[in-house]
Amino acid sequence: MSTLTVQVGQCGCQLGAATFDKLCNTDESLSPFFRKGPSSSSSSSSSSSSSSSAPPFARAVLVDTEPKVVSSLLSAKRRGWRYHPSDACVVAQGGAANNWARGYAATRGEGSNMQLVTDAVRRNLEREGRVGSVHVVHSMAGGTGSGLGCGITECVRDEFGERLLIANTAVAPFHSGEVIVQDYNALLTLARLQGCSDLVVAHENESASRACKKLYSIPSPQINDLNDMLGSLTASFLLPSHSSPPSSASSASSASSASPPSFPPSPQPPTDLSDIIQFMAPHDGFKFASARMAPMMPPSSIDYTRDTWSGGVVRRIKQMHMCGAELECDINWRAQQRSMHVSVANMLFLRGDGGTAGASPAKAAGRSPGSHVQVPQDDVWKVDCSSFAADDVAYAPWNPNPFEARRSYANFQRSYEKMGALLTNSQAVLPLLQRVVRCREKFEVRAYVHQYAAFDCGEPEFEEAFSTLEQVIANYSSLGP
Amino acid sequence: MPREIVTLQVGQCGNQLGRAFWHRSLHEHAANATTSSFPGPGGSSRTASQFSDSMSTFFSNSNPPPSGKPLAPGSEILDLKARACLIDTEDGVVSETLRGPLRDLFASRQTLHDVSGAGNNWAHGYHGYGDRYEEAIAELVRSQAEPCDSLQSFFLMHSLGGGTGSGLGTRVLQLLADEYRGVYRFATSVLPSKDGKGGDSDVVVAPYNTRPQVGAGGGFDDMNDVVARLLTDLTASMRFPGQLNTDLNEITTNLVPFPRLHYLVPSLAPIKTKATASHGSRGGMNSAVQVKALVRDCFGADNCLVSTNPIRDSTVIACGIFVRGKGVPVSDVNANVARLQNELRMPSWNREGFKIGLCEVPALENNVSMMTLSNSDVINDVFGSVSDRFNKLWRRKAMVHHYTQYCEEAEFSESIESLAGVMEEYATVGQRGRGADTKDERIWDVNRSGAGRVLF
Repeated sequence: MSTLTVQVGQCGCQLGAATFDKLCNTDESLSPFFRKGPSSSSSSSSSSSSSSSAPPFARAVLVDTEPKVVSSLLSAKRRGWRYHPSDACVVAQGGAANNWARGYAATRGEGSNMQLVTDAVRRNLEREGRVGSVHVVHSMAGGTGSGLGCGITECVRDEFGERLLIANTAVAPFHSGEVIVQDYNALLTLARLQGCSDLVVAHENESASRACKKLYSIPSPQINDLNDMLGSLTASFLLPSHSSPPSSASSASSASSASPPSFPPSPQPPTDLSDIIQFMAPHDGFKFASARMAPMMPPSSIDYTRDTWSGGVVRRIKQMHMCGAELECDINWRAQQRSMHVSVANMLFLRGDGGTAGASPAKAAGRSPGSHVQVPQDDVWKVDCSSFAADDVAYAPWNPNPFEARRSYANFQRSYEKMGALLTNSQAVLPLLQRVVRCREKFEVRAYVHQYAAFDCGEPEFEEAFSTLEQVIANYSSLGP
Repeated sequence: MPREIVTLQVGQCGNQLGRAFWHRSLHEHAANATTSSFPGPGGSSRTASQFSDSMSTFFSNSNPPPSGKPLAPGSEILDLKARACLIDTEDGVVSETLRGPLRDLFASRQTLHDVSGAGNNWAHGYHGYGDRYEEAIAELVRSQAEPCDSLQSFFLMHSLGGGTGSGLGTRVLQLLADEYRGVYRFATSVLPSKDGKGGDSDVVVAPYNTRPQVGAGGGFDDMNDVVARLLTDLTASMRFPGQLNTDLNEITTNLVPFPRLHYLVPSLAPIKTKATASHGSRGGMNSAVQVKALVRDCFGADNCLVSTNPIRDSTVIACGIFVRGKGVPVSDVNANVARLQNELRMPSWNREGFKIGLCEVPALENNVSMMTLSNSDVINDVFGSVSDRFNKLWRRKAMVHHYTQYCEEAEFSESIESLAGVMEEYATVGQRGRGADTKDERIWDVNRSGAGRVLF
């Protein structure tokens, strides 16, 4: 099944585009995230050369309160994909003024042009390739992404909720400096999403920035660098993956005419976002997840890196989880006993080694189309992931099935020989939530509340948001030590 | 899509300030203008200046009369008009503007002026002229607001000392508040108010009085130019591209934690303009050193546009730091914010109270410049002297009979109470900032039912 991405606000639009860049750069099927563009007029070279067919369109709806970012995304030259102009909506002109309530109010009542957005969503749902999930991407800090993002998520839930699962990717701001009222905005966002989203994946600018500095050696990372980093992280679990190994016996007939080398087909359809949502959020009180990935390295280093599965990638990701490290460079190898965080559910994604890593495009194109890639020696399906289910990783006792691994031969970004990603619904989200509710101090003196009250988000709404989020914190805290 | 600002200049001072502002803003856009070729007569093409998106904030462009058809950004500049309303109760300054070098920028239907003046009497301006011209002013504003695609804010330029600027200006603010809900109002108020009526604007920037450093050998012209600079810097980030764009309405959201505490004290660095600018530019320095120096200047006394103690000695409730210049990394600004967080006294609930803006297009005179807007209890220095002067007159009921022609005496006592209220509110927030470490010490109480008001 395919996934429709709704990108809201400047951050959402830019991060969404960065994610599609990563989703497009794969040997797995593109169809979950892209739809075919109109085929080129000349049919003479229909199957022999793939370059003649127009690049596919992202299954996406772009929403912002001003056209600058949206129109630059529509016109930007992208590698291998593009946006369809009819998928762009500019609503609630005038901006949200860094005010969650102003952004949210723009999605409600007369004069809101939410119809534009729901129409665009409906058009995409009616297209070929059944859409099973909607992925809303937005920030928590500003007013547009946070307020509008919540309003749109609720609209989608109301209109299409019966047939769709909804996941949100929400980007938490730097700890200070961007917007003074960012913790209010984050509070209201997370509390609303607890009600209307099925799974919330929280990313943090702060750790993306640290990753850029420490792992990519970018001394002063720009917004683009952060989006690139978070785009990789998002794609690391979104890209198609499989729950069981391919049946190597199956004939080559199922290999489509698609030109990139295809891997032996798996007997089951690939894991898509709705599978991930169902597995990751088994309980209403626990909807918050975060993602880790290893290795993270600048493209220039990838060619010089050789890694192993069990002793390398899997072991490092596990240790990151054990010691609560968001990045590889934060791993504390001494934390050995029990995992620092109790988990509700963990999903491990292993990608590689299909042998296309580092292959030049020419070399890749040289392979005869339709042929299967030889099953590599270092087979991803032979990797033992049982250490994640072992006793030292603590899980909520009530979840009978808290861990799964998904795999794919396709090399991540066609360049990483072996890559692992962990999506974890666990106490790892607590520091973020606790930081957000710290704005209670601001609320105690009612600072800035009048700005929100002007848009129907007064003290009762704040109290409700605090109590929702404090309940979530209590839920996660009750899991363990 | 443009985000327009309609400027209202009221009274003599407001109109003089307006002149300096339009002069500066034209120069700024000229310095960043793009040309492209447009079809000329007989199929030829010629190069002309283009009406850009960034210009459309302050200006409209249209075909010359009689057609007068409005033209969108991207067109050739033909008939450029300021999005402004010129209002005065005497005709001197407005007529001067209409005859002066900026005359092409304003159509006569953009002006409203009488001949008699308000005689420095707030009540005459507010009640007398306010009642008489309310309809006409509303119509004038409508004629400027309606052609806007996406009106972001109103700018009010006025003085608080004279009768027209303060009285009629206040009335205009109320009118805007009633008719344009959701459109923010920015008042640039010269000299402190003698009443609490500034309350109808969302933000008041710079109750401002003269400083020798600012005047530096010039008179009103130099001062007006500094204020004009303030206004262009304030809007630079919404007109020109930058790494961290800030809209005007974002400034309101971030810097005004309580509705009455909406007085922002501006500082500019470098402060020197014109003649001294070339000496003052720090061309050779690296950006980190440069930004640090600008921050140091902005939080000192000399660069502050309000005559007060240095901001670094006050309690800063919230602060905006806006940098103009090419390629200034946000990390350089963030490093200074981290330092300021330790150095400044701030309320414990707003330790992260910094809003940063980065605009890539530099101001006219300097490669890199900085403007800070501080919401600080330092404003009580100004309010205190206003209220002292008021009380001296009030005790003897001096001049009061001039006002009671137009208003009740009760308005006086209400106003002074209102001002005292604001001062006390600032003072308690300030003390709270000082006592931040002793958390049990409840200096103020919170009114849980009222909308975010602080009680005493």
